[in-house]
Amino acid sequence: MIKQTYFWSVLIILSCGIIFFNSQSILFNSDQSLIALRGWTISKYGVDELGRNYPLFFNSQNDYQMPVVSYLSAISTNFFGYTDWGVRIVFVLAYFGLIWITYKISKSLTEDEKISQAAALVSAISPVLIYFASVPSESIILVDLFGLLFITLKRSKFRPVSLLTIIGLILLTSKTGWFILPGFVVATIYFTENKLNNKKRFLVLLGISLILISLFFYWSKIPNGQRSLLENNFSLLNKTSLVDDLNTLRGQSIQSNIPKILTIFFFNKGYLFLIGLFSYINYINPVSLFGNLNLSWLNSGMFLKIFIVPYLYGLYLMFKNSKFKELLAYPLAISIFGFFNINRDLNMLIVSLPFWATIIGLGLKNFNNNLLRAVLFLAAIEVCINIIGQNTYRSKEWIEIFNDNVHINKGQNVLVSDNIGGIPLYVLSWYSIKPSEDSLIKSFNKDISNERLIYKYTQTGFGDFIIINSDKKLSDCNRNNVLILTERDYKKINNFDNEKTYLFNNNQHLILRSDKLCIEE
Amino acid sequence: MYRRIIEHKFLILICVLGIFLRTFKILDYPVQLNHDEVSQIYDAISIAKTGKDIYGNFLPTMIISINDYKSPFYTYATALTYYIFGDQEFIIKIPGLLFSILTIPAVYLLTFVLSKNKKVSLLAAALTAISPFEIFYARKSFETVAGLFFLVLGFSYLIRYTEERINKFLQIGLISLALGMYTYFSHAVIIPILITISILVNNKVFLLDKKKIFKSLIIFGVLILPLLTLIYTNPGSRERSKAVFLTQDINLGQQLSLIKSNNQILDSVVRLKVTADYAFNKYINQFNFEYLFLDGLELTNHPPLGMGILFLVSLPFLLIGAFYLIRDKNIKKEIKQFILIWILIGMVPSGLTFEDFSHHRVIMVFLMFDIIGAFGLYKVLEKILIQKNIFKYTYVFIPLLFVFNLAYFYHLYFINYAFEKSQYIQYPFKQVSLFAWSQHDNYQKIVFDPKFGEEAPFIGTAAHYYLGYYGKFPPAKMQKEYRLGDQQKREVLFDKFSIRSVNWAEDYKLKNTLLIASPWSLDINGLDKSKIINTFYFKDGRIAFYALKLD
Repeated sequence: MIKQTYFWSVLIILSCGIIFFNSQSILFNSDQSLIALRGWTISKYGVDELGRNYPLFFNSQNDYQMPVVSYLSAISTNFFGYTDWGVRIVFVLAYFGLIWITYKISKSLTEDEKISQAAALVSAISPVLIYFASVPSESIILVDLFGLLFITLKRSKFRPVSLLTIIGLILLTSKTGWFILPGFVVATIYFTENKLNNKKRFLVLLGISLILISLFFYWSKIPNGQRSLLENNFSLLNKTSLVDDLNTLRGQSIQSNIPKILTIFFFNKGYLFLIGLFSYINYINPVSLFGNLNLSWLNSGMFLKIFIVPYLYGLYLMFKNSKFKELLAYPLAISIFGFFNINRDLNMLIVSLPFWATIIGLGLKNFNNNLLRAVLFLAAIEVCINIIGQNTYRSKEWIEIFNDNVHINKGQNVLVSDNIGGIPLYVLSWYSIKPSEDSLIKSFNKDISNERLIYKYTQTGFGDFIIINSDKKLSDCNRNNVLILTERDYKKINNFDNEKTYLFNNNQHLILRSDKLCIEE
Repeated sequence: MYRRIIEHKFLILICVLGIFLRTFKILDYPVQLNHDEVSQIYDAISIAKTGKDIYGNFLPTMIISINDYKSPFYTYATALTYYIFGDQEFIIKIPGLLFSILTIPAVYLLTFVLSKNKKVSLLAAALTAISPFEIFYARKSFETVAGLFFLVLGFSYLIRYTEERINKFLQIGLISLALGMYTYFSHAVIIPILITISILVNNKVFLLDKKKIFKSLIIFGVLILPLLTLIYTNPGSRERSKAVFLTQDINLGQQLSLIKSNNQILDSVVRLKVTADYAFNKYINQFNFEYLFLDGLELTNHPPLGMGILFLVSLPFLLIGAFYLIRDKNIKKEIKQFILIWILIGMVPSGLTFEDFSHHRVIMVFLMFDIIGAFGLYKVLEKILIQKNIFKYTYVFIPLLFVFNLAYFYHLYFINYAFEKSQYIQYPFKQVSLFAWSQHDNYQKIVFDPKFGEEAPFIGTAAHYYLGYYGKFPPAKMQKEYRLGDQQKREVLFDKFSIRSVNWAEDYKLKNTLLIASPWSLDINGLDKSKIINTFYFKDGRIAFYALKLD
């Protein structure tokens, strides 16, 4: 007991330190800034960024967004204020929750204290979780909810209300959750030891099936609902380029007098099956677990690189001794819809994290002391350098330049070129000036505000910020506006080369100044 | 002798199949000698005739290649085939084909020492005989194929030595490995590492024969001494390492440029970490299944339609083989460790070089995948044999799947690869060269701009090799006449030829000149069409070059 208390105390202190130091220099990206801003507008004015009152589904540039994370962000900013930490706090709590959930899942599947503690440690220092604890994102919430679902299903007492609540929250957190849910539940009630009898198992499955069927039916009826599914969740079926590619290769064969039947035999739509199959396999490939997930500028993956050693050893022990097979069953079941979604879905990958962490824990537990010490030592170094590296990269440098040089007075606008890589509208809005109610109302498009559902909407103005696309022209006016322009837009009014520019992200020169210029109507 | 042939009749049949698959239509496919082949064949002839390469270096220990340096083994081997067969295009193919074919029995030998099972060994040899990457590189005259043979042979004998402790095996093994180090740069690094690890893994055996091993290692050291001297003294080898090293990667360079703190030590540590992580990601990416089984050989421009490094049908057998290897108690722990180390160390060169995937550097790993696949295939066939009532047709079905994969590979290789990738083997430089020489006496000067390409332009830097080789230009004369001209235009000069970038705004004024250039260098719309005396096409029918008569 004392040992356990000691372990958890050390782990919590360690995690707090990691999150605190790592968060210092993390800059929310466009989607994350939007969630933060949306949370703030909801908590303050009861409207989202488009001016809609408490909507159920939100918009983004790629798909509809589910509501849970935005409303969590609203609660968080309401209590903790209009700051990064104000938004972040909920996700930090979710991170701590996930460490505990990983421990519980691991304990439940292996019944081994050491493996479970190792799994908890592995998840606590997982680069992907450290990152998602620092930004508003649905991934970490989704893993937590699936973890809770696992624990609820494994309990001796059947709790339909808890179960329904968790399932409801999963479905309202991310569309990916809809696709993970069936496989996850089947794996939990059939592949692992369970106290549910056959009748209850059947009831659970029936309930989930009915809920999902109703949900898909509802979704197919909303505007662009089918398109949303096809483009974002069944991208395999949307791969139109394949037909062109097949025709090209067939054409070359025919030109070479190869019998047509042979060309059809070799090049046909059966390839879709292979593409889907490999997409699915990729979710369980170590490349996806330890390779680059493109989350931050450091080449981090789901786990620390050094943990590939215990991971391989854990797998080896599983195969050798035929033990803990269910640890692999989960990732296989969770990512089954990865067959249809050929664009890697990070959420689908991350929900498997507690199970992979347990396999790593299994490897760590069976290492001899020297090897264990060496791996943990290298892991500690890796974490430290990751944190130092994160702080070495001055991600907020440009925001600091902007805030030091630009002072926006009432009635002024900030005109921003839309071809600036990495600092779009929402990032600037979140990190510079808190939008006033007047400026927000001014930027709401009435046509849009009345719509309840908008698919793939790109906002061209928010608060005091207005986006300039390549068609827009600038002309003289009486009002002094702030300009953040790339060469493309500045050349429309003046010679770019003669101006003082700021280097952005080491590869793009920008003009940053105030001038009496407005967008031509 | 006859008894041996009977004993190994299946292996001989597999070798015959391997010979057929590697040599079938070898003179037509690939559609032309690529720039590495042309440079090596011309240098080989030059060395055979004059003792010097075309740049005048006497018996060079490092071959100056296209923007690159090559280890000399393949060029000298080709010089040997030149002595035997004379000046034929196919002489450059012979060493590659020969070593690739010899690899089949070598794999049999290696698998046998690993598994002690003749059937598994035969299956491994068969998989090697039909393996797409093996056939692809054998037909491409790639030196790594020769290195692979020595590597497989060398370690087969080293493992045999650890089991039987016969001195001869140790010596054959080490001599083979020493030769292997001369064939390819990455082997020069990988082989010593593998030997060291093998000694550490089998330390008990090696400690028993300390003296014998010490003596053999000294012989090995003497054999590789010239190579080590070469690596440390020849700036070419260092240039080569720099040119292909990971730090040349543009994406990594961009990431490193983002590191900006006020502390230099901190910066260095983070740089090191970023580079190490980047290398790790590249390394681990080599195990990507899509690359291995769908499109790794890059035979088309439409991934994932294409051909993997291994046959798609090998995937389940590879997984089953790995599974059984882990569980099989009859296979010694040291053997399992050896297979794992072979794969992990063998993949390292690909992680440390700038290309996303450099399969030619790691084919030793793919070969081991074939061996593991043979284990899997054997286990599956064994199961079928036990339960033959249920799966009796699987015996036919499995070979059919391999035949289908093979047919698909050959279709892609003979038809689509030629169409889609002809520009990447510098097609139609041969036709251009032959035409230029046919016009040689009609003009005072011949200007050739090797900038070409279908979607984007790139420079064919081996143009002087193509012109020299296909014009039968005496290497001795090339050694005297080869010189660099205006380097702003990347000009190379010999005989009447000026190989350089064309600036049409100036060059249209040239007189009595044959000018050969691609649409990337010429103003086609403003061109007097009567000046075009020949047009050269890529295999897919798109225009590669125009030949213009400038009076």
